[in-house]
Amino acid sequence: MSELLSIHHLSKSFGRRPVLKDFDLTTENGRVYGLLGLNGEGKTTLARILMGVIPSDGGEIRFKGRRIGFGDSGYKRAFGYVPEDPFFYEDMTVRSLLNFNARFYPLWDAKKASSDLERFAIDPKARIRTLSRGMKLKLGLAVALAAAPEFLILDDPTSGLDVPTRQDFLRDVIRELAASGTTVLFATHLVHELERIVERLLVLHGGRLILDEDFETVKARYQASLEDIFVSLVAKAQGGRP
Amino acid sequence: MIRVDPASFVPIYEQVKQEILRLVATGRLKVHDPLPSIRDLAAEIIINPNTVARAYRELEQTGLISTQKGRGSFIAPRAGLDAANDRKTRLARVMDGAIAEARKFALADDDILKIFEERLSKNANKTRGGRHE
Repeated sequence: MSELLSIHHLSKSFGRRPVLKDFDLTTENGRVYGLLGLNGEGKTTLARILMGVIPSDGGEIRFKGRRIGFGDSGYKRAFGYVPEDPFFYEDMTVRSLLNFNARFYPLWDAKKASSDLERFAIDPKARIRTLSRGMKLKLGLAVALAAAPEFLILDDPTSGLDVPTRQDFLRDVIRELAASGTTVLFATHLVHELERIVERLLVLHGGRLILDEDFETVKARYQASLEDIFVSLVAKAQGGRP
Repeated sequence: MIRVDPASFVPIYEQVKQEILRLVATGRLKVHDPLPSIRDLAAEIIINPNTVARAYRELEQTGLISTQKGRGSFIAPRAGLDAANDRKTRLARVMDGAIAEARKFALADDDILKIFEERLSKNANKTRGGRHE
């Protein structure tokens, strides 16, 4: 497996509060990385830096060996991003949003986009403002997937959704994985979903990863559920009881 | 049909393997029956397709399923044999327990045999579908 994304000594502070501190991560092709962290630990900050929404304070990010800096846009064609609350122009119709996005992505798959919409039961003529939160999320996923991303970032997309909608969403991610072998970084604080699909477990605490290991190995060592593993790791890192 | 518990500390690929073997042992999957595709099974039970692929790969390595390019995976004849052996092993284990109990009560082997035969005839009309081995 080859190295897809590598991050070294990444740091970011908001005012005096450091969020990422000397953060390191290397990802390989075609795997699912589960990024666990409590709220406010910097999961979204990391996603936003990777997507070029905000600059980092220092450190290095490489995608397929090439360094990427704030303001670069070329690499983003290979990235898909589904944030917790996808931003759309609310007055656009679903179809015009897809046409708008298609122009930015050379590998845009219009057929796939429309078949995904059909499967999600989203009317292409609907205005975005009329869609429910679950629908908007699915639209966000359809848009991200139509661009045939090599690296897909899911930033806590399922929080606040009901269980059936969450399971639907995960199923769609799984179908995508099976079809294209996209690398996924799934950031969440909801461990139950991660447990089903994660291959490599990352635990973010205090601005850096306190765990970066194959999930099966971690599970065999702890003989516990992901929830218990997560709680015990964070407690240990805080210097509390193991 | 196949159920996994992601929160269990038994690896999910191992659970998938065990589930398939269980379905064969209980006769719900028979030799030459097709298995769902990796993609379908992964989506159905909501687990990573790579995990399903690993379970299938390991079953294939031990000859319990066979995969034909473009046609999918099937239960191999070997799995049927194993299932028959597996049923016998399971029964032997139950009997080991019963014998251990009998020894606790200091019953002689003759008595144990007699009780076993008695139970066997008493339950004779309870066999399901008349399947004998």
